[in-house]
Amino acid sequence: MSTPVLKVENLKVHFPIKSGGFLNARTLPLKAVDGVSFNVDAGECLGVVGESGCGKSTLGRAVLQLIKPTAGKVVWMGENLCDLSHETMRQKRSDLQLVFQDPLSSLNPRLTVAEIIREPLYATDASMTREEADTRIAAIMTAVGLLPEMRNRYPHEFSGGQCQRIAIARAMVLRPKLIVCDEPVSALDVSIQAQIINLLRRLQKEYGLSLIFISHDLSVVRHLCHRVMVLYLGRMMEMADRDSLFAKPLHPYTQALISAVPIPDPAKERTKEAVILSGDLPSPMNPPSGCVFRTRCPKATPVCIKDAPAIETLDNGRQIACHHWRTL
Amino acid sequence: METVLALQHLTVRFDTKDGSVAAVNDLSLSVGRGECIGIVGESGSGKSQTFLASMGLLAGNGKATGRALFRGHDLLKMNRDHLDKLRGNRVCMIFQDSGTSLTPHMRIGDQLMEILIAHKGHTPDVARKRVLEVMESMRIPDIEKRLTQYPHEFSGGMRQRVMIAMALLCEPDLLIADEPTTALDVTVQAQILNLFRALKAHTKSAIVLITHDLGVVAGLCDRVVVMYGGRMVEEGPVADIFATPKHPYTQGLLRCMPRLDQLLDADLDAIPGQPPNLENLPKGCAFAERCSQANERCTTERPVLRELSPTRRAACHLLEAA
Repeated sequence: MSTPVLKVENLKVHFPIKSGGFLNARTLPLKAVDGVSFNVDAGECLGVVGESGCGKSTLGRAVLQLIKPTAGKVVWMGENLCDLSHETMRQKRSDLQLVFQDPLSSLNPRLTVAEIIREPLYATDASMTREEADTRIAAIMTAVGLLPEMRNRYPHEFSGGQCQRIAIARAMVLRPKLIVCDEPVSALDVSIQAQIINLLRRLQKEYGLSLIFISHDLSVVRHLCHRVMVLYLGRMMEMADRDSLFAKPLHPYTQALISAVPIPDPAKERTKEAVILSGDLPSPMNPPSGCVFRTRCPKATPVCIKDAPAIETLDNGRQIACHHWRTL
Repeated sequence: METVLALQHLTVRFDTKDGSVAAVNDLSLSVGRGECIGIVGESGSGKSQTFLASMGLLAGNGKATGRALFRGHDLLKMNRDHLDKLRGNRVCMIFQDSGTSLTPHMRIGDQLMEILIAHKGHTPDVARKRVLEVMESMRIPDIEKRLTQYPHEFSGGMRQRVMIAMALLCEPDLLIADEPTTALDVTVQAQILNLFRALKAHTKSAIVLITHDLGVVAGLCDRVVVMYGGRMVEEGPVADIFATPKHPYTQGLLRCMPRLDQLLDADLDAIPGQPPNLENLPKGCAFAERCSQANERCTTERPVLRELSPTRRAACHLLEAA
């Protein structure tokens, strides 16, 4: 775990939004991701956490070039993916895969399991023989915990957890090096969640996969990820290795986020000191001046209104964007 | 403690093209005044249908049998007029999706006042005063302006606050909240749970909290009912259920969750298999095929709910032997 396979530098994704009426029509940028930088090492699992609207899904898709970034670089194995032609990028996709949140709607209902898993194989290697493809399909189905006998069934015949296994098999069949998992267990029941988390953890170790694990569930992220990035309104608030982040969150937002998670233990849950934030996430169309978190921050001062905090990098590689973290 | 709601042998069946399916089977439980009870289970466990049936809100092909006694009156046998006098007044329900529970073309203020005018016969002025009072207790900023807005102008957390305010206007005897924070972000969930906590402390309403989140239950409820495959599998005081879960399913649920307060450098202790298909429930215990301790008896004979102590019940053959 030393050489980064993926380097993201100052990534920005702005969506043009039409606003105003007929006479004062204008286009404003919605800054879904605004200047985010990070690395992912080989075999590392990076957690991306934040609330809805913080840009975590957009970030994942921009890394895979499913949304064209407005600015910044996505360097994969030394090559900037943003500069590649459509065709070259298509070739690269066998290294970079994605698993979505809703397992049923991300699978084509009119294809059988085998056809779903075969599609990426044929898309990247048209010369592959039928037998070769079948062997790979059977192998990957077994690896994700599906019986190869189920190969001719359709997605609707499977439960949510099994559909997520199919989606993981489809992503894994090309032997990718990096998978972006966008809330892969959020739609599943608690008892099924654990099965899929265990599967991802095992695959990650066995195949030396790098994962970008996007989730709003901090308990899952703590269990699965090596390093965690906290996003708020498209900006990075804090990034640190898992243990330091959860042991001592430095950013006021990270502190609030962690303390808001209900603990399944009545004694602890009823006595813990929670930081309750006021209000809701501001509109990303009209983000606050200075630090984007200041409208809900219990520690905000006038300087937070004026200046956006610069990202500071500490000795252990931990990064934080807050004017006041030293004095909190 | 005065009993507010008592369900007796409640069974809910749905007619489908594949025959009749039981979503809830022979469920009996009670909720007392000032008590908060948590109903825990996975999708398809029957936790929502139990209370939709009690409120007379089942889908057209659903039918409830048994009794649902609200302060002694059977809600299942009540005629529509009588039921309408209770619902939104003495018995209120909060749903998961606040976006679809509010009327989209009516101002928030009007929707709230309508309840008081209909149920209490208040004049608009009196109703408005009460609405302002309740909205203030929900910590909604800028109330006067907010009341003239429409639901789409509210965020998810704000809409859920309006739903709670709406349920509290008439100071109901029974409040049923079905996954009230599931659609919300954690920081907003924390705000809403705080409101529930304040509500519990200041009113004598009985609260039923339907959820899949054991963390939420731990923080709020006095008593917990665990459901699986349409039946109650365990019931007890919240501290006991979390400290010494008796039913293998409850034990499994508590073990399989990753926890923020404990670091585990190993695989999670997952429950294998899938939740049961209600159309085709096994003859024995519904949990048997996923249970690591199941024996032959579990697959042939369905365990009945038995009293383990004056406050605890569970349905498992293994507990009988012990």
